Amino acid sequence: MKATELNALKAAEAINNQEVSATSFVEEIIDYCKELDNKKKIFSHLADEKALEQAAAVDQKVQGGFNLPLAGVPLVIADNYAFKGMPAAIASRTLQNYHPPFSAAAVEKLTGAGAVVIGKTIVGDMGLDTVAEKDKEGSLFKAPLYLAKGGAAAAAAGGCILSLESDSSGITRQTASRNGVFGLRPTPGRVSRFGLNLCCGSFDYPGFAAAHLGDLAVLLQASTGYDERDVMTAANRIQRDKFVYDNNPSRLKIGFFPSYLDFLDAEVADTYEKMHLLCRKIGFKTVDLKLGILQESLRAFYVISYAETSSTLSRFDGIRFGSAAESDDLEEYYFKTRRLTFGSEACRRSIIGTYLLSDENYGRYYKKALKVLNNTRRLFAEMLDKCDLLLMPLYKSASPIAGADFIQTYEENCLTAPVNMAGLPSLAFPGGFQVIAEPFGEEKLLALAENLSIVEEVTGSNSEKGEV
Amino acid sequence: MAYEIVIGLEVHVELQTASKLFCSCPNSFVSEANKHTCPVCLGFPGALPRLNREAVKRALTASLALNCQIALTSYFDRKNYFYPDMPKGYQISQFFEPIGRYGHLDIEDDRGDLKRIRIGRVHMEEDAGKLVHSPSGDGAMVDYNRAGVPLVEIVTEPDLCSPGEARRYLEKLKAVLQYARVSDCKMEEGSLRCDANISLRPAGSKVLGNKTELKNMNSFKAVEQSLEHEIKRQRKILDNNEQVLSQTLRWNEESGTTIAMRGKLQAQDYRCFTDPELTPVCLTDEEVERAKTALPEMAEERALRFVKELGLPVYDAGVLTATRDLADYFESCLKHFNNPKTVSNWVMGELTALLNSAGQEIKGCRFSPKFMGELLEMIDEKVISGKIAKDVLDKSFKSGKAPHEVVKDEGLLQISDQSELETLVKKVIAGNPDSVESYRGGKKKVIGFLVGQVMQETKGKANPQVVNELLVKIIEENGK
Repeated sequence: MKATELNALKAAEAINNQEVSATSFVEEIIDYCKELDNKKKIFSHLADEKALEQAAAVDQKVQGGFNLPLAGVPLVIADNYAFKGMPAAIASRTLQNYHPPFSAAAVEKLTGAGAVVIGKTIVGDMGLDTVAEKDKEGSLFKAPLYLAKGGAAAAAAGGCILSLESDSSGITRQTASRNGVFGLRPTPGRVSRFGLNLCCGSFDYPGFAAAHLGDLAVLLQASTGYDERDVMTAANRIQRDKFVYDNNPSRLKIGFFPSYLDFLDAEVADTYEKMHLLCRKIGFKTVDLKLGILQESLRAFYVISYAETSSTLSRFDGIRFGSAAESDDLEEYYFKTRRLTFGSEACRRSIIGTYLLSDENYGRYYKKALKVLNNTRRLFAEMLDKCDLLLMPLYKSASPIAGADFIQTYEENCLTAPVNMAGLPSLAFPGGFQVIAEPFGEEKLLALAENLSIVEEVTGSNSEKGEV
Repeated sequence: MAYEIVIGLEVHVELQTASKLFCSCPNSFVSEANKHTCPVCLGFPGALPRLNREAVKRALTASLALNCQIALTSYFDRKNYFYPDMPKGYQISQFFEPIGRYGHLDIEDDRGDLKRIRIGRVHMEEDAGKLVHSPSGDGAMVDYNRAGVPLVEIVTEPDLCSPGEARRYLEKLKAVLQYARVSDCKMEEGSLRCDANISLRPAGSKVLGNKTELKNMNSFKAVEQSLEHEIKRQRKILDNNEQVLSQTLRWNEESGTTIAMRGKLQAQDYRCFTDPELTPVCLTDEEVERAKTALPEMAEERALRFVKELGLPVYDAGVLTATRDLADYFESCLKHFNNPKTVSNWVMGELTALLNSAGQEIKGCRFSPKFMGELLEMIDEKVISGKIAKDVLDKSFKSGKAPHEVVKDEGLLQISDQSELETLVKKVIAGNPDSVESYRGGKKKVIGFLVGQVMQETKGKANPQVVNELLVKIIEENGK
């Protein structure tokens, strides 16, 4: 059986049973990925030797009698995750020659479960959600927006390839859906983000993409847990470790937002309505809800994101890594270095973020945005009081607008960014939808999604599986 | 024209914790550069800070020792600015909500009256690295060993009125924080740093004049001197009817002058906002109460107790409570030998002299309170004489051997045995007929000389009192 036709769980099973060796399996996958990469650039770094090294280690363990949940499963990680032994340029000249001296916690957990990191996927400038724009000096890759996240594409291409990415405004989930695979953003604090180069501390958290639901479940389970290097994960200690989900539709009530039909384009609106009817048909109870805060939340999201990013990117000052300029004057050195090595997205956020945080403007923008943030959280919590899950669209337009400017692209995130602001877990599935639960309610999401696996019947004509 | 002097002090104190504030790198001196570092304190992409709870405890103790109101919930904020010694491009500090506010410290003003200096805030923050000038002279190098070390910043209101008051404030602050075991407050080693803000205004005016900031003082004396210098400078300007420029001045110890550092025409905009990577610092009422009761007795209270309960003279109490280590040592000695005055004499006298000449501190002194007790007991039981005891102390201090061991090894036991001494006494009497005659003739004081001779014969080991008695007895006997 061809490696790419298996799902991750089946692959792990085969490897644990020693029906096939991790080494040969991974080799096949890597060859496949090389072909893929030639057609459409997905990888920033494809590991040859390092992957086979890991696979050999897995083989040894398996032969020694260990049963690893993700034995030999190929894992791709976004370039903004640190992995010792692989470069992490994060699409910026600043980190062009940077090789992290440590590995990210989530990656360590997954490789500990047997996964093999076969490569790193492309991200936008500094891991920021980049827009389709003319290539600027600093950014190393040019790609249309929906490919700026290579992870989902990889997952879509090879059914057993699992993807670890970061989700800030929700573009990761949107990209997963557009590529015909599932995307998950767990509750902040569920998975350690130590080793993830985040720009906005309030919203950047790990996210996953996988072609099969069961694989997503194992991915989540393997990476969940307390990590002393990320204080936010302490919340895990009071949550259940074991990951069990209940499949009974009659036990779950789903919230819908009919008013959103007004601003969705025809295709998406049509599918959303069909989903509503389908859920009722399966046997879920549904309730109509209203949440009008999306536009306001979106704007507050970007104010906070820009402001925090400008501060977090200050560490790239050319003193410890990535110097490019020569100067006798310190101020000039900083200026030149950052101008030369920052891509356009990083530049824009740094400059505008600095403006937003300045003395005169702090009260007008950032402080107000924090109020909106609290309001968003409160309102979503009220929604979840009335039902168990929320079903919302992922984006407004079925096809992303090529050549859109950054404001237009931000507008597309009005259905995902507010969810991230509220700190809620969200599962995106093929067809342009997301299901949202209360904090640490991921199991409910997966239960629902299993029931909606027949969603392909409804939305099959929309998703372009395997092709972008 | 008479001017009022208005001074405020900003003091940074390094907390004596085992690790840094946001990572587990050691918080201790190391000579090799960039040894105590890790991705967190170096600001590598992907590294996250995690709070050292011990530092919070010390900051809480410091705030309580300075009589502050404690914020049960405080936050960490980012103070953004670029400088090579700041790895992240921002310093994690507490801008909006410090852990302690509205405290005070009482000092003596210039007339000797008690004056209250208000402390506006006490907050936690991380230290920056150090810039070291390159030996080849072509620039500076950065050492990040110190980056991330926990500090508390203590800011006074502009209540100080003279350089003398400023110096006394610093001395008091040091004593309080040392006693509270928050820090060893050594300015020369950098665990205490002080910046001063000073302005002058016409006497009676309610309006504050333009202030200047003074930096780079390395001792309390330097703080006092730099302030005196600045007062003269500002006075001259104001006398000429000119405006004092608001700026930062760097004190130069060698020349005794200041140099302008950078124009402080506008306060720097640090664009502070609460750090989203850290959770709020939460303290419970119980924790605060516990910290309050655990606050050690401060120097003054302790000195008062020494006077009242132990009957020590005020002077002694003052000397012994000057540092917490010395006061602790003294009280430990009392457990082994319960005569406060005697212990005080020996600690203040001989022991201190030995410590000074060896350049050592009382902390870690090998001559333990137990040894001190042993020594004083031996004197009390007349096993050795007071004079010999000094010798024993010296040898024990230097060798680390217990006093009784020293006495045994060197055979310094006091000779009090009558028969043994009689022989020697008779020898001395026989060898000094003139002195004996003088004594018999009425010069009683000559006995001292004869005692001395016996002491010499015994190399100081004879019990002088017994010797004296014997001499008198034998001379008078034979004189009949």
